[in-house]
Amino acid sequence: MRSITTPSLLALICGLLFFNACSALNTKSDRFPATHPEKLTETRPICSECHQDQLKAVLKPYAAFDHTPLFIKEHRFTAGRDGQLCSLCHAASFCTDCHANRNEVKPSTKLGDRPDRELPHRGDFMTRHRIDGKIDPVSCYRCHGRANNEKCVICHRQR
Amino acid sequence: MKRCVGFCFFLAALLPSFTAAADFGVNGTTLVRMEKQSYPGFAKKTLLPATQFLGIDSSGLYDGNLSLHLYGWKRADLADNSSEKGSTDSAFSYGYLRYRFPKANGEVKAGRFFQSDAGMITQLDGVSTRTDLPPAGLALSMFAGRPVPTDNGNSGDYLAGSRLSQRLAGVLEIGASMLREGGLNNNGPTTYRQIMGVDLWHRRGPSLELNGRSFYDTATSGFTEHLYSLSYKPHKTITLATDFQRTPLEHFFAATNLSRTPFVTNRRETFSSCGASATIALPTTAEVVIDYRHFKRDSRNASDRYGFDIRIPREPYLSGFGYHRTGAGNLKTGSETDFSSYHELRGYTLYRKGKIDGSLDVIAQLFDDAIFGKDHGYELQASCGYHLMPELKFSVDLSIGDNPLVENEFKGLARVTFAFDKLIIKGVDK
Repeated sequence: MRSITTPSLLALICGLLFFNACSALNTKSDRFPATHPEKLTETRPICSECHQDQLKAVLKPYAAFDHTPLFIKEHRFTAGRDGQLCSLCHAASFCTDCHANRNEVKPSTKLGDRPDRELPHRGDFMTRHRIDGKIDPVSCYRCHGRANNEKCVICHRQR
Repeated sequence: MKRCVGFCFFLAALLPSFTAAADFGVNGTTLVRMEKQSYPGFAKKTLLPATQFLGIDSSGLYDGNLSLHLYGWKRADLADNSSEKGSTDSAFSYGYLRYRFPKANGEVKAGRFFQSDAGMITQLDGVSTRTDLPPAGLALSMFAGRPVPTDNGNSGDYLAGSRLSQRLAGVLEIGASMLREGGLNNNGPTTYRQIMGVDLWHRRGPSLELNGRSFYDTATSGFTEHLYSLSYKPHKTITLATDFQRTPLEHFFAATNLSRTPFVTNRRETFSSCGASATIALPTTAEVVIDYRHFKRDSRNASDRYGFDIRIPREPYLSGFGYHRTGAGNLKTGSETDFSSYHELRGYTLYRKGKIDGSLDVIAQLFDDAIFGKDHGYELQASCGYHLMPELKFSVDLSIGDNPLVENEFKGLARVTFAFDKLIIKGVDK
């Protein structure tokens, strides 16, 4: 174990120093603000209603981040590329409501007072999962594949 | 878990020394659920679990660029045990320090956090960094640490990855990423997964946008996933989209924590799906989404899902209605746990005015073939809430339901939600 972690730690320290230097040198690049300057409503924001130009810090038009139904369905692409931008408005706990190694309750229970939110497993998913899971096992993996699944193995025990 | 709690206390203890001028926020949700559980083959239970989700965020620490973020939950069962782990349970979701450099979107995170670079979501205890690099548009991120252990233990001792991307303003972003998870087991050093990926964003004019990514696992010598999406906006109120996904299950599931359970019986097959949708968004009037998706597994023929969703905002109401048909008829095998096609209907309305809000939500399924002797299922949920303060809300949910697994289900939930974002520790004006 030690032989693996020592070079990794050294590489990390070098990486941190390198990044620090790069950030200091690259003075022409913009930086995100820490938070959105104005408080937004709880409904889905359409960025391009207020911003017409390009978001300089990511070199993309604001319209690319409009929270349309398509954007919400495909938010994985934005989260994988521009996670810093998400954190302007969303605390990390917004993500962990669904994407967590261990979740105590399903998201639609925790947020049962928000029927307008796109949340997985609404209603009786226990019955539906035997159909949906066979049709599209990949969709299960996206959240459960690298998570704890103690509730799953109550029934799905190893043979 | 104890080490994590100790780490949190350590971070919290450091707070006063960091606080030149800091905002301190506390947010959370308290849930008390009430449920009588009666599943076939399992003992009847009365459940009364109380769960506290708690988050702490503090920004403006040290020189103003350092922030601290903590989140976790703890549950205590006040009646029968709600899980096999006993009457209490807890999880430390994340806890990290984040330093944002004054230039170039540079940042360093250290602690426990989720990393989602290029879509490879993983929770780790470690360090991550990212920065923009000269020339303009180039960016690099790196992360390394120990994967947070999972219950089945199918994870490595260390995990490291990075993503290098190049952007052309307003037009293109191409990224290349890698992730390696390895460790030691009885056979010596082992690579659990070593994934190389490319991702793409391209926009042509104001109306055409392409998103996509492909991952290749060198540990299993195969592509784990291709995922591409194209959208076209012929009018400001209309968006047409199509997407394609191809996933060889053998490689996709190679590093899963589900691998020791029989979720995927035939991994020597490829799953693919393609879909299309049309969104018509009429501002302040209605939003309509019509969608279709075709699924294909090598061993099980094809199936389809199609339907629509309508969303109508009318202050102080927000209402929605949807219908979907999942057609699994071609997948039948004749076994007891067979597929059944079904219709799904959902409707909801949300009311918000002043300190009061409430909602009504109903979802129902009609199965073509009875499951455990029942051909339908539904759940009706009502919620009402009162804002004691703008940052503090009390709400109660009640739901009734009936489905193939549970007869006449009745559940209740009391919820306290709080989000105090700007508690000042010392000093204010930043």
